[in-house]
Amino acid sequence: MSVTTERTTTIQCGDLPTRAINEAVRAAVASGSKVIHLMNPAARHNLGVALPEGVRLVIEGSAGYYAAGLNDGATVEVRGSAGWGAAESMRDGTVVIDGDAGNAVAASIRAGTVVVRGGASTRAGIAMKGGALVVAGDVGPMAGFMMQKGVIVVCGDAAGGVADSMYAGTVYVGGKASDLGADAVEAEFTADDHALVSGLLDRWRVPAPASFRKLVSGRKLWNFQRADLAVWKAAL
Amino acid sequence: MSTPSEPTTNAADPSPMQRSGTFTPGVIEDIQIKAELARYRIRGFGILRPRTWATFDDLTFVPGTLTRIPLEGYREKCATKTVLGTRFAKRPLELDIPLMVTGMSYGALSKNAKTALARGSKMAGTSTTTGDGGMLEVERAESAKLVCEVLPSRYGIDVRHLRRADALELTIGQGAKPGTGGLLLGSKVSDEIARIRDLPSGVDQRSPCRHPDFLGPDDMVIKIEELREATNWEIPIFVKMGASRVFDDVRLAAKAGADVVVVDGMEGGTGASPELLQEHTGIPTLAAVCEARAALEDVGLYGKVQLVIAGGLRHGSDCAKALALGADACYLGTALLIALNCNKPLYEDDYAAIGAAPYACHHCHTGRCPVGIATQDPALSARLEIDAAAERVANFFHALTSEVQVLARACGKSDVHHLEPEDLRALTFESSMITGLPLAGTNRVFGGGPGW
Repeated sequence: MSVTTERTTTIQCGDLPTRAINEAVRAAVASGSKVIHLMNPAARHNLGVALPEGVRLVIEGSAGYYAAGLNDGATVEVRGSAGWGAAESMRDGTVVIDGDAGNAVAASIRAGTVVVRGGASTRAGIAMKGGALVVAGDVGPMAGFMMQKGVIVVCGDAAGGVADSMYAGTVYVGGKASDLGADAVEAEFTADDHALVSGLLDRWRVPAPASFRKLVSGRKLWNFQRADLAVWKAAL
Repeated sequence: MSTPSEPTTNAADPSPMQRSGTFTPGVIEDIQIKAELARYRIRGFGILRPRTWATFDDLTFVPGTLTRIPLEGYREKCATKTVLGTRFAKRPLELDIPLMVTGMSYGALSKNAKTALARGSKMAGTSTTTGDGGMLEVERAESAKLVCEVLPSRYGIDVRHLRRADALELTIGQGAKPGTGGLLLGSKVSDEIARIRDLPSGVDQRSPCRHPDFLGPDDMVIKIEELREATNWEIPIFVKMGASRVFDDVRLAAKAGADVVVVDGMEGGTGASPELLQEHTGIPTLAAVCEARAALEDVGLYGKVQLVIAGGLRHGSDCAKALALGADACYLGTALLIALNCNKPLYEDDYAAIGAAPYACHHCHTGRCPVGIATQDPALSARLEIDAAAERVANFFHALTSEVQVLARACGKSDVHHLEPEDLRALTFESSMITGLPLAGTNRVFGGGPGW
C-alpha cells in the first residue's frame, strides 16, 4: 500500500498520555487523514482502540495492552511486539504485529484478520467468534480455548492444551502439537483447507511449514452425556 | 431444590416411622436424582432455602415524630432523580427514579420479555441492561437509557453497540453464582440465539468465568481505560460483581477507575446455574451493601463513585433500606419478571408438565416457561403480550417508587437519596452487628458494624 498518494499524519507520542495520543489520532481521522504514524509509542496501553474502516495506523514500535482493541475496521500495524489482548473483540479490520504477541491475542474477534509475525503467548485466539488469526511462530498453552468460529493458523509449535473446549472453528498447526486440549480432535487436512491456509500465508507473506494438522471440536462437550463422563470430569 | 426441615426426632423414644433429620425426604430425592444425572443439578431462579440469615426485613425505619419532622405526601415533594457516573463520564446516566432493570440476557429471556422490560422502563423513566447475549436491536430502540454489559463470554460484542449505550457495565460476576460464568442450556439456544452468540444451535452453552483478556484489578485499570477510549470518555463505566469479599473487591473496583460499582447479593437470580452455587455461595445483599459503603468510605470515594445494589430486592422497603444504608440505586431482576407474570397461576397444566407449579416454579433453565418469559419457544413467548407486560413493568416501578417515597417522607426526607442509616434501627442482634445500627430499644450497636 502506497502512502505517497494518501494524506499522512505523524504523531510524536513523546510524553503524551494515551488519551491525548488517541485524541490526536481521532482528530487526524476526522480531518481526513488515512495513514497515521505513531512515533515512539513506548509500549503504551490502548493505542489505536476502536478505529474505523479506511484508516491505517502504524505504531512505530512496541505497544502495551489492547493495541487495536475493539477495532472497527481499521488496519493497524505494530512495528514491534504487543501486550495482552491485541485486537480483542475486533468487529472487522486487519491487525499486523511484527514482533511477538502477549496473552489472548485476537481474543473474541468476530471478523477480520490478525497476523503475528513472531510468537504468541497463552490463549491466543481465545473465544474467537469469526475471522482469522495467523501466527508465524509458536503459540503458548491453550491456543483457541473455547473458540466458537473462525480460523487459527499456527506455523510453529503449539504448547499444551491447544484447541481446548472449542465449540467450533478450526486450528491448523504446522509444528508440534503433542498435547491436545479437551475434546480437540484431528480432522483430515483437505484441499479446501490447503487453499484456505496457503491463501492466508501467501497474502501475509508468512513462510509456510511443510505440512499442517487440522484440529476441530470433537463435539463431546456440546451437550452433557453420561457416556462421556471422563471428558466431563475435566470440563464441568 | 430446597430441603425443608422435617419434624425433629424424639430421641428418647423414636417412632418406628421416624424420618431422619439429616437425610430428609428432600435430601434423599436429591441424592437419587444425582445418582442418575452424574453431574451437579442445574436450575434457574436463585436461592430457594428459607431466609435464616439477616435481611432487610430485620431493619425498621424510625420515622419523624418530635425529634424529626415528617413531610406531607400530598403537598411536599420527595425527589427521586438519580444520577450515576459523575466521576469521569462526560454524560452521566440520569434517571427519574433510583430503580433500574438489571442485566438479563436475550436468550435467558424471550424477545417479548426483553422488549416489555425496555418499554416499561422507559415509561417509568429509568434504564434497562443488556445481558450475556449482546444488544438486541429492539431493546436499544425501546429503551430510553440502556446499560450495555461487557461480559467474560463477549457474546455479541460489538464496538458500535458499546457506542450506542448510555453506560457500560464491565461484569466480573453475579450474585447468584460469583466466580462462575453464564449457562444457557441447549433448549434455549435457538437458531437466532446461536447466530447472535456465534455458537452452534442447541449446544449447552457454558460461558467463561474470567474475561479473556484480563485477570485482576491491575489489568482491569487498563481494560476500563480501553472501554473509555472506545466510547470517547462519554459514558459511565460500571463494574458489577457478585457479593463475595465485598469490602476488598469494592475498594479495588473503585481504585481501578469505575464510575459506578454494582454489588449483587446472594439472593440474586439467574436463568440457569448449578443449584449448589445458588444455595451455597456469596453473601447476603444486606451484608453486601454495608460492606460496599464502608469500602467506598475507606478509600475516600463514597459519594464520588456511585453504588448500585442488587440481589433479591422485592419491594419499596427493601429498596429504601438499601438506599438508606448507602446505595445510590437498586437493580431489580426477579421482581420485575414476577411483575411480568413469572410464577402467576396461568397455564397451570404447563407448569405441571415441567414439574413445577405456580409460586414454586424455578424452571427457567428448561426453556419451557409457561408464561412466555424465560423461553425461546415462539408459541410460549407469544403468551407474553408486550403492551400489557410493559405497562405492568411501569406500574411496578411506579409502585415501588411511591413506596420508597412514602418511607422517605415519613422520615422527613425531601429526596429519597437523603435517607440515611440514622433513619433505621435493627430488630435483631445479627442485623445490628452487620449494619452497625443500634438494636431497637437499646440504643446500642451489638458488634462493630462494618468496621473493617
